[in-house]
Amino acid sequence: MKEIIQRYFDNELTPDEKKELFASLEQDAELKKEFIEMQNVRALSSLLSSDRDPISAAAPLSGFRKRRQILFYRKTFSYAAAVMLVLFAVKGLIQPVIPSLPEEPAVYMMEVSSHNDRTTSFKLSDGTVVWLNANSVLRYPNKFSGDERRVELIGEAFFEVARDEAHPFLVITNQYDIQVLGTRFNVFAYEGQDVKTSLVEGSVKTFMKDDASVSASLVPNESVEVKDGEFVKGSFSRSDFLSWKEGIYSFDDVPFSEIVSRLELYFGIPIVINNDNLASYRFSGKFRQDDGLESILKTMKKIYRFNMEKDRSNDSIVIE
Amino acid sequence: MKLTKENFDGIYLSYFSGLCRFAREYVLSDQVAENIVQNVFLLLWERHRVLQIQGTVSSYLYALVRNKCIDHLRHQKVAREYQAEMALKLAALEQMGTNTLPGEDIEQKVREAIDRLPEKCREIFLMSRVEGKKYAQIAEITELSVNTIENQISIALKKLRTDLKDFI
Repeated sequence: MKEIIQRYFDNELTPDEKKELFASLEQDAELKKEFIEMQNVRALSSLLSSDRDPISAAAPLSGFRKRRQILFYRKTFSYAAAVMLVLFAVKGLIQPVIPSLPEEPAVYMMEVSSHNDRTTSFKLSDGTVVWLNANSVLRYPNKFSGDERRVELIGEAFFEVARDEAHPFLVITNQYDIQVLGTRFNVFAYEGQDVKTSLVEGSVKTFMKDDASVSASLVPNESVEVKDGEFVKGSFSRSDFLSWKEGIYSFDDVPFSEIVSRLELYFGIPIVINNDNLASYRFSGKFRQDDGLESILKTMKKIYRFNMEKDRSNDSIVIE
Repeated sequence: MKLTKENFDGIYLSYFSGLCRFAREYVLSDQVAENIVQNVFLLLWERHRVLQIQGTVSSYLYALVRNKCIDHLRHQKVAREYQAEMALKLAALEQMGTNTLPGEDIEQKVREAIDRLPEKCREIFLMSRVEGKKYAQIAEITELSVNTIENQISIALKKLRTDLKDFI
């Protein structure tokens, strides 16, 4: 085996050496064959199971179970559309080992969930860019087909929707649906929370789930929520609340209790406050997602002294 | 073997980590690899009642993960500096398994090939590939030099390349 190939796989090449290797692979078919075979041998041999595999899969499995639950309780997707998708998908899946992949892959639903309490961003097949806040799930088809571009959201996401007037972009949340043509907007839709849509650019229309005649149209710097079955609009002038896209949680004169309920959503850990004065104390500040929950709380502790304790049995934090 | 609600979690625990290691060899990111494998299991969960799986569940999973990695690499818009590398990964993945028969148990074939390696060589190889140990760690455990470890792994890869030539 060529030494340079082994060194590539052992991660020992400098960027320049890599470049050189890739260039020479283009020239030398024999070398390329060796590279590809070595790549595949390495991958195949890593498939073998080790005794520790179940241990390292335990945490992902619990995440997986949560998503299964979400799947189970989802009532948002219309039955007909779901049946169509499954039909397409099954058609494409029954023979996954066929020698060559079909040129047109089948339509199936994908899910991206943001792990590690981090914001992630990615592109959908139509060019729409999505930022997904921590502890959030977006479901979307691998390829949009039909009249609408339809995605489902639990959690918080910012969308930069690629313009396509012939195919409206629909965000399905558990409270209402949001229709747009091409625009930039934020949707806050964590489970158990009132869904809030905030428009930065362009225009969006929201529709009530069970009654599409109840709707609201937004212009930039407007937001909308549902109160008593009606859409209620508000406005915003600052865009601090969007800084989560850059991995920053920013609070401006916000009661501790509200900050904590946000942190609960972002980090997926219940937090109990047993101190009324503290709960209503207002904080301003910016925190980096990367710092993690405990470090954020510790920073606030420096401003207003409180005790916090981790309850290991039910994985929650108690603040007094 | 039939996939059921009852044995699903067990199958997940057995195969999740290996499939992630496999995907990681091509997509170059732990997070992307994990997302791909997680999505595959989700897909499987949604359809386990209607699926007719030919062959073993493991080869079915492997085929799904492989196809999803190909999809990912095809649609990935990457920075110029990674383009050549991603194109190679895609070419490798597209070539792999094109000679496999549906239902053929890849894991079994790989296991047999690895079992044919000399004992010391096999041990070292598995520590590196499956347990993810660094060469220096393996050297310490086996009380051999890093150089010897490198050589043993190179020998193992060479043998496997010959043994598995129909699959790669």
